[in-house]
Order: sequence, then C-alpha cells, then structure tokens
Amino acid sequence: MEFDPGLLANQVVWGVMVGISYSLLAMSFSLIFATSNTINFAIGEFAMLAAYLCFTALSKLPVGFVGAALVSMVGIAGFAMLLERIAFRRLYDLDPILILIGTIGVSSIVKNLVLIIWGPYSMSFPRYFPVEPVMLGPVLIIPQNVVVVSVGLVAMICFHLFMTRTRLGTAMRATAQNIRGATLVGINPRLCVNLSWGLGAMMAGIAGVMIAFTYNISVDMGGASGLKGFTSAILGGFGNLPASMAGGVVLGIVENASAEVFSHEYKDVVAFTVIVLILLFKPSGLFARSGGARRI
Amino acid sequence: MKALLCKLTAAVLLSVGLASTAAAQAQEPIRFGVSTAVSGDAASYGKPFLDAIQYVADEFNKTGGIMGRKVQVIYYDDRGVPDQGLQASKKLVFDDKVHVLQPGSTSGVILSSMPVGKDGKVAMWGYGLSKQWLVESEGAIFRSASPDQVMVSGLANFAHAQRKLRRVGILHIDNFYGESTRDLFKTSFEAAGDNAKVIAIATASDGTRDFSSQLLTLSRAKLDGLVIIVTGSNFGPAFRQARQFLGKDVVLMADTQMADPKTRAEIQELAVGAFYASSPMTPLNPDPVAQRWVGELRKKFGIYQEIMGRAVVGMTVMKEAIERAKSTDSVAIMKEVHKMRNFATPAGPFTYDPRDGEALKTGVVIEATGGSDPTKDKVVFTSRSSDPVYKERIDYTRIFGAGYREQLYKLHGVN
Repeated sequence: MEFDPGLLANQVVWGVMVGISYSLLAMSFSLIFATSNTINFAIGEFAMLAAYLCFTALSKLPVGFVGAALVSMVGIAGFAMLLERIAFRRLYDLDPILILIGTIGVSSIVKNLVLIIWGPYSMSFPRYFPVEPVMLGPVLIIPQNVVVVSVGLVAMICFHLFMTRTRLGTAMRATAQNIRGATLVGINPRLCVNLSWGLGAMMAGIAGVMIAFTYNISVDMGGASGLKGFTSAILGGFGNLPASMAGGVVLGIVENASAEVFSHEYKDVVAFTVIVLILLFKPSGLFARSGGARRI
Repeated sequence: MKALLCKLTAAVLLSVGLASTAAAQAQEPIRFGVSTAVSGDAASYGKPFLDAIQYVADEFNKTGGIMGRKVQVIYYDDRGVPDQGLQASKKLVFDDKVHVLQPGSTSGVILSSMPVGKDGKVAMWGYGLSKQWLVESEGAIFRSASPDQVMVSGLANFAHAQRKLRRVGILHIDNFYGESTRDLFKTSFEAAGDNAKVIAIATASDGTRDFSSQLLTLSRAKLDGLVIIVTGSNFGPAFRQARQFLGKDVVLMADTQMADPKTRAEIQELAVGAFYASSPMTPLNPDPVAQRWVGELRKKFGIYQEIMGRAVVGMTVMKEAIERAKSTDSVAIMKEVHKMRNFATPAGPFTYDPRDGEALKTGVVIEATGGSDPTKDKVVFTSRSSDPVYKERIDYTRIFGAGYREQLYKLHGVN
C-alpha cells in the first residue's frame, strides 16, 4: 500500500483524541497508587459504573446531560471513598499483591452487579451534535468528538489546578510524596488517601462517560478501558500525574499511527510491545525520572 | 418346594426392580444442554437465545413435555470464549449427562466444543455453525438457522444488481465469523462482474469499540458501499462511527445484527438507509408459524430478537425428532432429523439436505426503513437455494453406517 501522509496526519490527530480518555484513566491509576500504594484494577469498572449512572440519571431524572454527569461523578466518587474506607483501609499493611488481588475482586463484583441491575445489552447516549464529518484541510473531524475531547481536557486542567492551587490538593501531594512528613505538619493522611480514591474514581468516571458518549455503554467496556489506562500510566510513569497524562496521549498516537504503518489488526499488539520495551529499558516510564519522588 | 418359593420370590423382586427402574427412567427429564454466553460481548445475543430456549422448554412442559417426560434445560456461560465453551460442553455431556447439546454461542466456540458432543454420543444442534462444523460433524449436528452462504451472497447480489454498487469496502473483526463472512461477500460480489470490486478491507480486533483508525483508512478509498461485519455489543459503535466517518452517501450493509431491537435502539435513525442480510425469522415474515412465535416471545420478554427464532427452530426440530425416534439415543434422533421434510418452523419449512447438512436455505435482504424500530423495515430481496451450498459432502459412514448416505439421498431425491 502506498504511503499517504495526509492519512497518517489524520491518524495522529485521532490518536490524540482517543488518548485523552486513556490519560484520564492513567491519572486515576497514578493518583490512587501515589497516595495509597494500591494498583487499583477496578479503575476500568469505576469508569463503566459512572457511565451507567450517568445514562440512568439522564433517562430517569429531569437534570439534563450536565446534571446527569455531575450526579454520576458524585456517585462514583462516593462509591470509591466508601470502598476505600470499608474495605481497603484495613489492607494497606498487607503485601501489595494481595491488595491488587482485592481490587480485581472488586472489579468482578462491580461488573456482575451492573450485569444484574442493567442487563447484558449495550446502550447509547442520545446524540447532541451533527453526525456529518467536517474536513479541516486533510484532517477529518467529527464535531461530537471534539466536544467530548474538550471536556476531557478541561477536566484535566481543572484537576491539575485543584492539585497545585488548593490547600487540599497540596495536602494530597504531600501525602503522596512523604506520608510521615505530611503527618508531622498536621495533614490528615487518611483523609487525603480517601479523597484521592474519590478524585481518582471521578477522573475514571469522566473517562467512562467520554468513552460511552463516543461509542456506547456496555458491561465489558471497563476491562479494555482499564487496561489501556494502566498501560498509559506505565508508559508515562506510574505514580506521576503529568507523566501519566502524557502517557495516554502517546499511547493513543502510537496505536493509531502503527495501525496505519503496520496493520489495523495489530494495533493493540504494537501498543503493548511498546510497553514491554518501556518496562525493559525505562521502567520508570517515558516522562518520569528513575528513583524520583511520586509527583501528583 | 422351598427352592421353588425362593426362585419365585427372586423373580418377583427382580421384575418389581426392573419395573421401578423403567418407571424411574420414564420419569427422568429429557435434558437439553446449552453452552451460551450470558456475559461478555456475546451476551447481547447469547442471553436472549437462552431466554427463548427456556421459554420453549416451558411451553413443551405445559403440553406434556416430550414423550411424557419433562424437559429440563441446563446451561453454562461460555462468554463466547472457545476454551470456556469446551469446559461447558464437557460438564454438560459427562457430568450432567444431557441428551441434547447446543455446544456454543459462537462459531469459534462450536469448533472447539462439537467434538465433545460427538465423543459423548449426544444429539446436537447449533445456530452459529459454518460449513466445516457441519462437514466434520458427520451428521451429528444440525443448524437451526439459514447458512451465511445464502444470506451473505444474497446481500452481495443485491448490492450489485439492485443498488449498482461497484466500489465496496469491508470492515470486519478478526475472528472466524468475520473472516469467513468477508471472504463470502468478496467472492460473491466480485463474481457478479461489471468491474465490481471490494477495494478496501480493514480488520479490527474482536472486542474493540474504537474503529477510528480503520474508518479513516476506508474514508480515503472513495467507497460507494461498506459492509460491516462486527458482532455483539461492538456493532453499535462500529455502525455509528461508520456513519460519522463516511457520511450518508456511502451505503452501509450489515448482517442480522441489525434486526436486533437493542442494536437499533442504540443506532436509532442512523440505521435508516442501511441494508442487512437476515434469515426469514423476523417480525416482517407473514408466515403464521413465525408470527405465532414472534408474538409469544415478544409478549413474554417485551422484545423479539432474530436469535430467539433460531432457538425456537432448534428446540422444536429436536422435540419432533425425539418423538419420531421414540428414543433419546443420539443416532436415532439424528436419523429422524436427517429424514425431516417440510417441518414448519419460524424460518420456513425445515427440509434437511443430506449433501451439505443445511435445512433452511432462504435468506432475505432488508432495508432499514424503520430507524430504531426494526418491525417497520422492509424486505427488499429474497434469495433461495435448493442446491448444496458447499462443495464438500457429509460422510455419514462412521456414525450412521455404510450405505446410509445413499438411503438419505434417495429419500430426499438428490444426487
């Protein structure tokens, strides 16, 4: 097949769009890991649950899409904080592998609960934007996706501002970097860890609603999304928020560009091969310093 | 005298014992084993399929069961994964000792599970079979649906002759179904001549929901039609994205997935103008048998999906065969299936063709005129075949004995 630079440019633009949702999920992984040392494999299911909550709120409550999204964010954050308080706070002294297995158990429980409550059928959000594509030079743009990606970017900026410009955010960053030091200066680390679960779930929830809005909602959306988020976090730098954010976008670009250069069929294979190479040659991630402090 | 009394007592006890064993056997339910997907991507059709099987079994039981015996459905979740389907079929055949087996929710699952039914000597039926399984089954299984060959080649002929499409692309998933359907469409479409060509093919991993990279490539190929071969809960995203990336001028074509009301609720008015290949088991079929089952299933579940019709066909044909055989022996049951002619089903008359093992060789092409409501669609093309749809012929010798094939051919008047 002959090389088409316009098509490759398209693939890169779309890679960035897809990558924004990976970034949000990767940030969720990193935030929870940084504060509680927990690799939470239920993140994908948090995203899925938030999408279902949003869909249900939209169809049952007179709140509109923004209201429904807010309801689902509050719901998923509350669920994650409750989960941390009831189940995981007791486990932090155990081997991290056991905690990881616990999160896999939670993901399975959430998935089955969703299956019981909402059933196995996929559903989709109503469309609010035109379907027809728009050509910006050689680049094909779909208006709905631009809006969805913009919401994701705004969420990331708000999150960054919260973490860097507010006292609570600073306290959470301090807890992530040095829990003993944070305690000595009067920070309540338990509260910060609990909040980080809530905020992390909220980031995953925004990603879940974005994915559901772009594609559809199904019980199995969490597994694949969670895996991509986890991969992005590793690619950027696990436990480091800006690096994880960048990791998601890079993964999206690598996936789409490799699909064009090699084969669509193997785009996941190429993406995961990149991860293997990263783990072999730069295990701290592409954008994090080796041995550097956790940075949220 | 004492010895005679002893012998008489023993004989009486023995006959009472035998009688009670026979009675117990008569009371034993006829077990239908089902391996299907009630979770995972395939659950969107695996679950309604199971619901319909259980409904039909209940209906049988209300009218005396089969040969006076209750019908019991035992199922396991195979998630559409071949390895899990294999485990499910092993459990059903060897632990639960089912009399009848439906060995999987997808063609891939049936490929791995069907040998279990053959080894365990259980009569089998399936809806997701392909020619290999029918040929390799040596007559031990029947299909309760129209073959893809008839439906897909019907769609290709329709696209060529009626819609005058000449530059078609295919978006398909990388599993057995996706690849075989791709090949079927391509062969039929290009064989129609007039420079008709499948000019672009894009493959996606089974389970993916993001088809952007594939559709970007396809959008550069100046297509006049696109065939979407994606199954389960990922069909909706694929269809929606295809509309978004290719615009409304490209004719979208798909398979029976588009007859599913849940799928249609998902893609809504985007469906309008698309065409899909289907078996005749849709609410659009005016046949009274089809209307009766569609009505009953819709009343019970609030929805009718084409896959439910496939369950009805499988269960009713199996019941008929068991009653004709007056036995649960797999060979006796399958012999009755092989003899069957014009047995009324929601898919039309079931007439077994001993050459290729197919019994329902009618397909339709439907135009999605109804938006989110498939009952308002329109049948625009019908394809039927009385010829074998494969070159290969089923060899019945190992299971049914030498000369059996000739008997069947004679019975059905085929060569």
